[in-house]
Amino acid sequence: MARMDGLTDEELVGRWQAADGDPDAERFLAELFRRHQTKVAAWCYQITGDVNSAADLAQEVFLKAFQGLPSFRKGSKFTTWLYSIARNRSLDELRSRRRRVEETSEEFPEDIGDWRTESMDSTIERRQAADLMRQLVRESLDETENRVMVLHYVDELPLDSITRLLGLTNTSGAKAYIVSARRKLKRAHELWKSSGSNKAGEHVD
Amino acid sequence: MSTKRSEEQEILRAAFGPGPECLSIEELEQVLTGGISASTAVGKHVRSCSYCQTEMQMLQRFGPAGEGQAGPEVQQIVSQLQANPQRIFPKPAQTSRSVPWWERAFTMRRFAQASLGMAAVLLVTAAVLRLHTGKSPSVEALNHSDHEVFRSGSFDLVEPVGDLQQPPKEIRWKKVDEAVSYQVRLLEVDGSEMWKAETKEDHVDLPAPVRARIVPAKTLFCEVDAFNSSETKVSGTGLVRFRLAQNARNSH
Repeated sequence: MARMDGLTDEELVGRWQAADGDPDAERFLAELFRRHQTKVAAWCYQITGDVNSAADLAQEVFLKAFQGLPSFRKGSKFTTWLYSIARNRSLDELRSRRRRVEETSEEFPEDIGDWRTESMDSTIERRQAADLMRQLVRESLDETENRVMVLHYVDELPLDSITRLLGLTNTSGAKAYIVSARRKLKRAHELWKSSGSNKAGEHVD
Repeated sequence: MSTKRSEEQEILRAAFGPGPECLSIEELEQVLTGGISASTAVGKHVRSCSYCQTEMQMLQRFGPAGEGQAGPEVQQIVSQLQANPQRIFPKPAQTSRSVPWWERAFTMRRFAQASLGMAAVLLVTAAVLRLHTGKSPSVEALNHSDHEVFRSGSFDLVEPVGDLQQPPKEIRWKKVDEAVSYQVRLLEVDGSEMWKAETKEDHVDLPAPVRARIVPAKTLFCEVDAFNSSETKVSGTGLVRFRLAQNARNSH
C-alpha cells in the first residue's frame, strides 16, 4: 500500500486503465475509494440530511464513477470529475424526490414585486427583466444571499440541504437569507422604478 | 402555482442561472488552482458572477473544506460503504474497455518498435525523393478536393457544441468522405451512455424522450464515430461538451 500512497489519483486511474480489466487492478479502485470516501459521504449527507439515504447516494456515486473510469480523460483532475458525478447524481436524486422549488417557494408569501414590463410573453422582455435583476443583485445582495439564491432557484436544492452545504448556523438557516434577498430585490426594484424609466437603458447591462 | 409566481421563478432562474460566459466545473477548478489568472477577462467574469462563485464554493466544499467537518453521521455513512464493497466496485466486465485488436497490437512493445523503424525508413525515402525532384510539393495538389480531408483521424461536430439556449433537436457533423455509416452517442459526465444511434446521414434527430433528459446546467458529451464499408472506424469527433443554459428551461 505504501507504493500507492506515492501515486496521484490520476496516476491510479491511469494504472487501472492500463490493467484493462485485470481483476487485480481493483486495488487501484480501492485506493481511490479510501482517499475519497469521507469526502463523498460528507457531500451526500449535506444533500440528503439522512444517513441511510446518503449512504445509498454515495454508493451510487462511486459505482457510477468507477463504471465511467474508462472514459476518464488524461489531463482531467479526478476530484473535479468525481465532484461532477456527485453533483449531478445528487441533483437527479433531489429532482426524482420531487422536492422542487415550485413546492418549497410557497414558503415565501411576500413576492418580489412586479418585474414585468409590457408583455412577459416576449423572450426579449423576459431577458430584460432578468438583466435588470442581475444588475440589482450585484448592487444589493451580499455573498451568502447570492449563494443561497443560486442553490435554491437554479440548482433547485431544498432549504435544509443549502443550510448544511453552506454551513449556515443562524436559526432559520437558508430561509432567512432568501427572505432577506427577496426583500432587498423588491426594494431595489421599487427604487429603480421610481428613479425614472429613462435611466433604464443606462442601468441595465 | 399562479402564473405570476411562475414568471417570478423564471426571472429568478434567469438572473441567478448560468449565462454563456459562465465556466464549466473543469474551468472553475483551473481558476481555483491558479491555472486561469484572475486578471484575465474570464477571471473578471468569475469574480462578478453569482453562479460561478457559487459553483466554485461548492467545488471547494467537496474538497478538504467539507471533509474537515465530518461528524459522526459521516463516519456512519463511511462504515456502511465499507461494509458493502460489492456495491461500489463494478465487476471487471462492467468497466473494462473493449480494445480493438489493432489498438492492442500498437501497444505491444515489439510492434511499436517496428512501427518506429518503418516510420524512419519512410522519412528517409521521402527526403531522398524530394531532393531528387528538386522542387517543393504543391500545396494545391494536396488540397484539390472540394471536400474537407481529415488526415488526423478526427472530424468536427457541428452541433450541439458549448452552451445552448435551446435543447438540441438534432446532432449534426461534418461528413467524412470514406465513411458509409456513423455511430452517435450521448454521454453523461461519468461516461455512462444516455443514448445511442446509427445513421448513414451526416445528422440524426434526437427523440423527444432524450431531449427531455437534456436538462439545464447539466453538462453532457456527444461523440460521433465514422465507419467505412468494412465497418472499420475511420474517424471520430472525440467527446464534445455541451450544456443547456438555465434560461432555456421551458423550451423542450
